[in-house]
Amino acid sequence: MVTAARAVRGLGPALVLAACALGACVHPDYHCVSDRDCDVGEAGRCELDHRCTAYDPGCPTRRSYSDHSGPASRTCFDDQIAPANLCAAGQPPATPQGCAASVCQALPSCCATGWSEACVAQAQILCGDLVCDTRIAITANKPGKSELWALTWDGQSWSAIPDSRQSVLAWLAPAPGTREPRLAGFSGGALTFPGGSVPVAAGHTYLEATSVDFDRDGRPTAVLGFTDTAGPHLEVVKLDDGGSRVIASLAATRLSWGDVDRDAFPDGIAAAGASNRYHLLSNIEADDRSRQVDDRVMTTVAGGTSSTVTNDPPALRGFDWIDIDGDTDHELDVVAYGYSVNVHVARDGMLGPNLLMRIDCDPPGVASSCDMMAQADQAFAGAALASASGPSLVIASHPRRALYRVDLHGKPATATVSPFSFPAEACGAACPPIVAVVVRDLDGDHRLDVIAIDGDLQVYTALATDPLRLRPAIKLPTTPAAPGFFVVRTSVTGAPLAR
Amino acid sequence: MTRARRGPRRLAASLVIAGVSVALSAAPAAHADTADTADEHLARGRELYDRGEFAAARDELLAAYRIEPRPELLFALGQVELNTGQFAQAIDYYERFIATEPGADQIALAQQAIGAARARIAEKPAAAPPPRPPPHRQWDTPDTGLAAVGGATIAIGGGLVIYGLDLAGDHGGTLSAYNDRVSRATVAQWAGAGCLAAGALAIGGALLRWRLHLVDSEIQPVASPKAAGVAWVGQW
Repeated sequence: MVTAARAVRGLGPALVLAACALGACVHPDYHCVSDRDCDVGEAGRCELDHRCTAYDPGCPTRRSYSDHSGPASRTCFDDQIAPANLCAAGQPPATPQGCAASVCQALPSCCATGWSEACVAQAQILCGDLVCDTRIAITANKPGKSELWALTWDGQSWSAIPDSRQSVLAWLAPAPGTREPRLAGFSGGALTFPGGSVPVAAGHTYLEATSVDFDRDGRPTAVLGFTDTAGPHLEVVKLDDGGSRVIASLAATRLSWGDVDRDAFPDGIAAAGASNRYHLLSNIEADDRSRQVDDRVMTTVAGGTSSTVTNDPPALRGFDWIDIDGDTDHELDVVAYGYSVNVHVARDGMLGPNLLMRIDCDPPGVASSCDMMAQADQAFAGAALASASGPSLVIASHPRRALYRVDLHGKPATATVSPFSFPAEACGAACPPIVAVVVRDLDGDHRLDVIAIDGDLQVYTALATDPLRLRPAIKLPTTPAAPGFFVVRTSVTGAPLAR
Repeated sequence: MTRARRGPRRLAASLVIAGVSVALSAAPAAHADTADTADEHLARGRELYDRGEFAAARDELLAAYRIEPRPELLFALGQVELNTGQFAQAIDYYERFIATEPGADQIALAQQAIGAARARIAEKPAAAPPPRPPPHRQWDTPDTGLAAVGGATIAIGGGLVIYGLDLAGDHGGTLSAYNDRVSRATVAQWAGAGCLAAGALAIGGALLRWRLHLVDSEIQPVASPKAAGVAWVGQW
């Protein structure tokens, strides 16, 4: 009996300790598989990290982690990432670390809303160790003919590969955690890209494919612009599981993403079909807490082309986002290129129809000071050119083949126009106009260079070290050699080059 | 009762004095021719008897009796045995002395001595109780009961804790279902922890009781639903 008592003599304290320890040993830790699992709170969602979030108006992303989400429980959800590839737009906002911190100091939206093309441009300027290759997806159209090309500058030379898909070639952002952008296109009733494809509706005519963190969920998301019998729409597609939803929108052409209202959700700009009207697509919250667009703010490019101009260009060729007023606020300003070049400065979180500047005529100038008849014959393509000395626009005119740099400075803003010189070519005055302009740092000097593409898909470059001088880069081997495309849309991305 | 006991003691004492002196003083006169050896033993026996060394005196008397079996030596031996507390042996010697048919007064004296011896036998106290053992610990039935209850409670508590862990470890289903399970798991685990603590207390109580409960000690721990402490339970 005494032996038994000795056996349990040391048991008491151990059991007390065990009881104390076990009293706190339930560590709830829930991992979801799908949104349906997250049925606590409003508009539950299963995030990429397999944690549930629910609607929380107190958080910038309007979401916070649910209970039982480990250390993140009840904290605001944020899908910021440390991008593996700073050269590719369309990714979630960056964590302000390393070079991204410098970029976000110049453009706060890069860490608050999303990693846009404006962020890539700033990264190329500010990040001393970042040199990107340049990849341009080209969708070239004219009546009865369409060609898709993948144009690449690898740091040493240009190359161009035709793509056999049917329509709309576009670069999508790298998949989460990877660095390689994905070249996507529509073919065979699907949006196809390396490593996957997503079925699309047969009744939709797809116009655009863009990468954007539209829902701020960090998932690989493509927003497609399409039209059907009911008009334009946007389709938000999750590339990881193929899920999609359609959003009503009055505009879906030339879709481009930035941020104008500092609400941590990317806003869009798109043209309304073939018209000269374009809409701000404010990313807003629906009643069910999903994201949709408010397309009520709209304006137009002015002018147009007269009946004397052959091969009428599209009324709108594209949009660009840049911090024009240097307020380093969360807002990005917008430039629309088409019948005129409209420069909008975001004010008070909204991009209203009032313009900072309208540029028209050839040579381009402030529209109010040029001939109305001349305005009617002009159309423009272009791109915003950020630099340490201030913002500029690169503007290509139509129908005359010319390219200009328009430096914007002062308050009220004034424009200083400088023409680029073209190389002497056999086509002479018959050379087609520049129909697409891309701005990227090609030579790794952390100054943005200009890539101009004409209607025959002849590519020119103008390096910042050789200012205002265009040099032939590569002629895409089209058939015929001078196809004369009227509409050339570009989608740009890149990946860091090893140095 | 006390007075009744004192009667035989006094009687025995007087008989010892009288009997030994009679027997020893009468012997030399009756057997003068054989007195050298027997008388020497008898003389030493008398001296020893006078000094209270009764065992040695008995040896001398027996030696004398073996040399010369005088009847009065039997009486003297009875007296010696009476003084050493060997009352039955004393009675035997007295009866053997009477059997030698001494004088009537000596028979009366022997019988009186036999009566005294018998009285001493009668008054001989009962065997003394065994010595009280020293205070010592003893694991008793209440200790076993407490430990058993504590063990059972710990088992229940452990089961509840494991049940709670199992509940919380089931990550399937929706978040609301998981919330429910976690709530139940938390309740179960706290209940389990309580049971574990209670069980440990019970076992600890049993051990404490075993450590402090000294059997045969006058100090005893007292535990009851209304009081606890130490009580003096000694006898007066």
